[in-house]
Amino acid sequence: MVEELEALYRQRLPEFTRAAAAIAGDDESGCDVVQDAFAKALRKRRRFRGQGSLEAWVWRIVVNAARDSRRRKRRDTIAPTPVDARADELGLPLELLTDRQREVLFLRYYADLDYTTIAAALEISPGTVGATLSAARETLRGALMKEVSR
Amino acid sequence: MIDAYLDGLLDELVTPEPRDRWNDVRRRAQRSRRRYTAVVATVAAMVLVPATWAAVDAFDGTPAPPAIHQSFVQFNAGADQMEAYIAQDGFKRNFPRADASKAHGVLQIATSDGPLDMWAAPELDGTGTCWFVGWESDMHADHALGGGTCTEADDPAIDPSWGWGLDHPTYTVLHGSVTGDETTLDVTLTDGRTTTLPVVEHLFLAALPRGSQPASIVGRDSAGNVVERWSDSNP
Repeated sequence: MVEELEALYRQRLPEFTRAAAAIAGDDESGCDVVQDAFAKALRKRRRFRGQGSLEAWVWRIVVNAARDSRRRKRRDTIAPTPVDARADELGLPLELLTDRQREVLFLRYYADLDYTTIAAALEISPGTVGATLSAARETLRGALMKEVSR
Repeated sequence: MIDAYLDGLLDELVTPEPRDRWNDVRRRAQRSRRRYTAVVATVAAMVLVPATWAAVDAFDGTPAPPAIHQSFVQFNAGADQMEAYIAQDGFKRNFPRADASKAHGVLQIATSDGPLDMWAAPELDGTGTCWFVGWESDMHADHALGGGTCTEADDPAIDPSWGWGLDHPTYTVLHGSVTGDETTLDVTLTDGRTTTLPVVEHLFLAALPRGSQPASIVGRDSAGNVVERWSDSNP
């Protein structure tokens, strides 16, 4: 199992880091979250029993760690996270999305995960993933269209 | 066109520069976290988390509804898939399977999100127990959302897991198993609060306040004697 986790880490590190950074709220936290999450996966590897793929199980740990990181930032400061500030600069209205919509969007876009893996990582149904992703993109698309047409 | 523009913005949103630091992962995995325990010791027993379980006697042994039965069936299917998956990489491992026909209720907790249930089924080879934890509000006619695992021969004497989900953000769900004669567990959280949990069929369950996690757990038998200890420095 250690070898499999190491292989997954080496194969998918950029995707893990990018999605974690987006959820956690900044690039540095994203890197740290992934290191911590894989360390936790190593410690808890015996708990993995094959309900879903190994990758989905690790994604669940990464997402939880990224959520916790973001939550700590929200608790410690009222300032927007670097990701939110960057989104504002870019004119990307992430603030219109719910937390779930953001997570589904980030996992799909930055990690190119299929609906089943996203569902397992977020503990929701694949159908909910599709609906949530569709709603998130529609919200952003609508807001950007308004912006472009001004 | 607007989709391409959106994708372009997402591309620019985060640009971390990951470095392959697997050795750092391994170091973190082995790092002692005793400082947690030390901090907790100074404030332990300061506040008591209200007991959160309910109707233990009434729930233990309740036959599992079809959705829970199906969850254990899916669990076994997942074990088949995983064995095939890791075999592709030249690894071999036997994952435990649950006897879904014997699935039954173990613990039920009353929460503001409705009941949180723990269901168990013996492993098919008779060596341990598999369990499934889920909120009744997430239970559908043919499936239930939640999570679970099975015991294994080399499990720690007290083996807790915890986590939370977006559908129930006000709670951290703590669950796990013990190998000894514990009937209760004294749980101290990282913020110093404490609570006592019942152990039923060697399993335990709690719905902790959001953000909480256990720092230490003391297992006691029916006479109150300490049977085993767990701390986050030695998970």
